Amino acid sequence: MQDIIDKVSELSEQNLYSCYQCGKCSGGCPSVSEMDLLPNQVIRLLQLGMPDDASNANTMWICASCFTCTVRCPKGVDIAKVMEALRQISLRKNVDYVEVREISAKEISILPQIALVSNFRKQTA
Amino acid sequence: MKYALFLGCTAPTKARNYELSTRRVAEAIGIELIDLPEFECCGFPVKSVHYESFILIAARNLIAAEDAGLNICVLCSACAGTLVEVSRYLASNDKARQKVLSKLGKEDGKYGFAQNIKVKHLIRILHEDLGSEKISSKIKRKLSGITVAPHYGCHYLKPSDIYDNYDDSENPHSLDELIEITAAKSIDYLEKEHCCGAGVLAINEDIALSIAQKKLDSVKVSGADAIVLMCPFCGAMYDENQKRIGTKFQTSYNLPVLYYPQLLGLALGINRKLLGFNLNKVKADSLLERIETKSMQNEQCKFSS
Repeated sequence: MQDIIDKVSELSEQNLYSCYQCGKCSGGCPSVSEMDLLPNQVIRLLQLGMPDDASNANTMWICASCFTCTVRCPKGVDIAKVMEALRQISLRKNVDYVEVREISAKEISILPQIALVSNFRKQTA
Repeated sequence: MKYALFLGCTAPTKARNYELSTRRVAEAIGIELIDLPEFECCGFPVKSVHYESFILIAARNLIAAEDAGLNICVLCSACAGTLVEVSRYLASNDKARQKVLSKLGKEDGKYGFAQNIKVKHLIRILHEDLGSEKISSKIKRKLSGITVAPHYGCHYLKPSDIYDNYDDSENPHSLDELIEITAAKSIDYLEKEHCCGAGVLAINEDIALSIAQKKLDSVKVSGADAIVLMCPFCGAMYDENQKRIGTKFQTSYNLPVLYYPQLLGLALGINRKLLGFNLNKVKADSLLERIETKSMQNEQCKFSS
């Protein structure tokens, strides 16, 4: 377990233990209502050595990288970067695989390129 | 004033009205925009897959601009965030810089990244480098009587430390000030600084659309005639997906979505056809007619007095 937490710290270059659970990140998050766990709860689970519980929640995928939490954190923790690190670790496990060829022309015409790429990076790796 | 224009991938394919109006407006207010053939994807889409490739792709663009001796003007907020972040990272991290330069076959010592060139979003250039006085002197048609809701999006000002703390990410004002130059009224509304939701669009469409819906609702309540924004990704949410959001939530918005250069272009007296209004998904015709009728009345007033 400690390995994964070290990996998150290394990839995100953040000290997870500086978070003191004030909850400002969750207070400002625009997509918090859709999340299984609040952003500060994810950090707390990592602090407690429970990375699986943190990764099984949909929180990191619902994070839109808007950086509101990053800007507001009084302890200077870049929470968006922590979410990014969790995504990086998770996508290498190859879950929720999407077959690119099966995406319909209509969907391709509606979605902006970066949205498609963000889907690929989550679900085809 | 000369900049290399960085279009990114979304603006020239999904938001050509943004690109068209930017080019017209730049011409009218005296910003020379140079197209560099080396410019390609900014690197943002691969950030969470392979960080080194992300740095490498962004560096390649930055090197092209440095070779040309030009600062970069960026249209898309995500591209701006990427290029600013990487240019600062490579300027301060010798090891990473040497590695990137050797991979790209360039010699170290020649490139300084953030030390030599500046990467700025178009809106920041208009607000900071050109300034309201210079733009005001070019205004030919006042858009008074029009009320618009500014949408800043996320990556234009956040994370604030990479943007030298320019403007205030919690209470931004640069776009409001630029709007008021045209004499249109810029209004405050609930969730003004909120995200458009596009980042979640391909992961979970329902959530993305409901995030966008909240903001559309707030703008509707505020009584604004249009939303004004500055990122093609936000445009995809509010303009391209507006009808879908309306259908999904059983309502209708019919709220025109203008890129800031389109609004400024109208105030500079540029013909609407040249500003790409035909490419707006939510048609702005009735708003444009109101503006045109009003300016004709003003002309007549001037003539008769």
